[in-house]
Amino acid sequence: MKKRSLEKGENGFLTVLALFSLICLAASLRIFVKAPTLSGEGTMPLITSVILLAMSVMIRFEIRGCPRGWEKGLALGQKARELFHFLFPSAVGLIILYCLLYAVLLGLVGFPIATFAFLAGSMMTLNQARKGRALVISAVTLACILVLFQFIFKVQLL
Amino acid sequence: MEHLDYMLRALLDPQLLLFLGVGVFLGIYIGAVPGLSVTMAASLLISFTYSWDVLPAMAAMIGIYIGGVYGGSRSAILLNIPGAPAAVATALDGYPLAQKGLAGQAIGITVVQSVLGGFIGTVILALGAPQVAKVAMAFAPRDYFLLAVMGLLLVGSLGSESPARGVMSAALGVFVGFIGLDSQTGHLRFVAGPSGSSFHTYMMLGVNYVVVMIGLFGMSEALIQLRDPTVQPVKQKVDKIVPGWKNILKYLPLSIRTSLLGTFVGALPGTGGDIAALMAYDHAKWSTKNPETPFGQGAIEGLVACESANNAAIGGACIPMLTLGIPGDAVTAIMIGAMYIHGLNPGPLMMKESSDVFWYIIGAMFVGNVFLLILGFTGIKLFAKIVEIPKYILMPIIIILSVVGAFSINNSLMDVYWMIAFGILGYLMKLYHFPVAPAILGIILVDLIELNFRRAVMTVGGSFTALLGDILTHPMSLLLLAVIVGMLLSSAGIFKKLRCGAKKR
Repeated sequence: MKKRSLEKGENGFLTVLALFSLICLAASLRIFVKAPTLSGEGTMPLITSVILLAMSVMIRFEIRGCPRGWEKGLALGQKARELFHFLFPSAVGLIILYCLLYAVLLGLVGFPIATFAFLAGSMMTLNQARKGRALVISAVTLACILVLFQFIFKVQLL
Repeated sequence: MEHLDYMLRALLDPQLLLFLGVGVFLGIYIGAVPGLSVTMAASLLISFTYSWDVLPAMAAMIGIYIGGVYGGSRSAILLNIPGAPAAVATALDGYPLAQKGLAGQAIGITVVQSVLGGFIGTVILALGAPQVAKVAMAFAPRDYFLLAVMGLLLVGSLGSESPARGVMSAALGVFVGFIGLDSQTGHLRFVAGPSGSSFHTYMMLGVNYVVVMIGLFGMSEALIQLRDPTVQPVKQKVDKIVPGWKNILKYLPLSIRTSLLGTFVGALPGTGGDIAALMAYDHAKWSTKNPETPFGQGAIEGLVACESANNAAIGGACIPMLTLGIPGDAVTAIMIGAMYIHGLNPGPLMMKESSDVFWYIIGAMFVGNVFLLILGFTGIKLFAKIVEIPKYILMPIIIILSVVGAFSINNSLMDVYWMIAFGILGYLMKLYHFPVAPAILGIILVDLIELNFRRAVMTVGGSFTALLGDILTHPMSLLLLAVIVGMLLSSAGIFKKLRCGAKKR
C-alpha cells in the first residue's frame, strides 16, 4: 500500500471491523463445534471469519508508519467534532437522517406520501433557493415511478 | 437446409419479427431501470403468453433477454447502479467514463460489444451446443468449487489500494451470504432477532444480493457525491456515439476471447452473465499490457471485456437449456417453464422432436442481436443527459430508485432497511479506501463455493487429502487448479520478478 495520511476515524473504523471479525469468528466456531467436519455447516464460515480477522491484522500492519489523520494533542471533544464534520460534510448527515426517516415513514404513511416528502425535503435541503422547482420535480418523479412500477409492472408499492 | 428454413423464420415472418423487436426494445429500457430486472420482465411475460403460439412467445422472451442484459449497463455507466448483476463489472470503468463526460461514447461501445458477444455466443450455440453441454455436464462439484475459487481470486482486479482491503471486502460479502437457512441441513446460521419476529423471518431467507448490490453501489455513491453538492455536473459529449471500425477492430481479439469465456461460463448451470463478466474483466486486466487509461478509471478494455462476455453468456445459458433441459441462469429457468406451458420438452430430444423451435430460437438470437445494434443506439443522447442533471435533483432520485429497486425484489420493507444499511456501510467503506465491488463478488459466489465444496468433500468421504487426490486425478479439475495456482503466482508478482531477473541476466 502506498503510504498516505490516514483519514479521520480510519483507525476507529478498522477497530470496528476487527471487532466484527471477532464476533463472526465466535459465532462460526459455535456452529462448527456442533458438526466439526469438513463438510459441516460451520466450516466455510469459520474459514471466512479467520480470513476476515487475518486481513484486519494485515491492514493494521500496512498502515503502520502512515501519518495520523489528527493533529497531535487534540482533545477528545474536538476530535469528535472533526470526525463528525469529516463523516457528514455539507448535507450528507441530513440526507442519511432523511433516508432513515423515510424508511420508517414508508411503513406508516405509505409509498406516495413518504416518497414525496423525502424527495421534496432532500431537494429543498440541498438547494434552498429553488423550493417551487423541487416540489414540481418531486411530484413528476413520483408520478413516473408510480406509473412505471405500480401500474405497468404491477409492483405493489405499499 | 430444413434447419436454415426454421432459422430464417425469425427474419421472414413479420409477426415474429415484430414480437422480437418489441421484446428487445422493452428489454433495453427495463434493464436500464434499477429495480426492474430481466427475470422480472420474463416472468411477467409468461402470464401474457399463455394464450399465444409458442414461437411468438419465444420471440418476445428472447428479445427481452437480449435487450435486458445489455440495458443493465446503462444505469451502471450513468448512475453507478448496475441495472442487473451482469453489469457490476461494467460500472467499474463505465461510471468513471461518464464522470469524464464520455457517457455517450461508453454506451456506444457497450452496444457494439454486446452485439459482438451475442453473435459469438449464438454461433457457439448453433454449432457446438451438444459438445459444450457435454463438457459443462462433466463439471463435478469439485470443479464448480475450483471455478468459484478462481472467481474469488478476481478480487485483485477489482481496484483496491491494498490486496488486504480487497480480500476483507470480499470476505465480508461471503459472510453476508452465509446468513439464513443452510440449504443442505436446514439449520439457521447467523440469524438474529427474537424467533417469530418479522426480522427473524426475513433473516431466515438470507439477504438478497441485489439488495446488497444496490446499497453498496447506488445509495453509497449518491452519499459520496453529496459530500460536495456544489460540484457542477460534467457536460457529456454525445457527438461521437457510434464507435469507429478502427476501434472495433482494435479491441476485436479481446472481444472474441472474452465472448468465448462468457459463453463457456454461461453454459455452466448455476453461473451466469455476472460471473462471466467479472472473469472477463479480470482477463482483460491481466492481458492488456498498456491500457490508454488505467483500469478502474475508465479503461475501454474493461467495458469491452465485460459487455461482450455477459451478452455471450446468453448463448451459453441457452446451451444446457435447449440440449439438457437444465437452466443456465434465472431467465432460462423461466423460459423452460414457458416451453413446458406450450407443450415443449426442452432436453436431449428437443433437437429431434421440436427442431423447428430449437432452430427458430437460434435464428431469433441472431436477429435479436441485429435489433440490439439498431435499438441499442436509441435514447443514448437522452440517457446521457441524466448525468448532467444538477446533484440536488439527481441524488435524491437515485436514492428513491435504490429504495424502489430494493423493495420490488420481494415487496419487503426489510429489503429497504437492509439496502439503506448497506448504503451507509458502502459510504464508509469508500471513505476509508475499501473497494465495494469485491463484497458483491463474495456474495455472488458464496453459494457456488460453499455448496460445491461441501458436496465435493462428501463425495470423497469427508477427507481433505481425499479431495486433493480427487482433484489431482481428474484432468478438468487439475487444469482448473493449475489456473488457480498460476493466478496466485502472478498476483504475488513471482512471474514479474522471474522475468525481470531473466532480463537483467
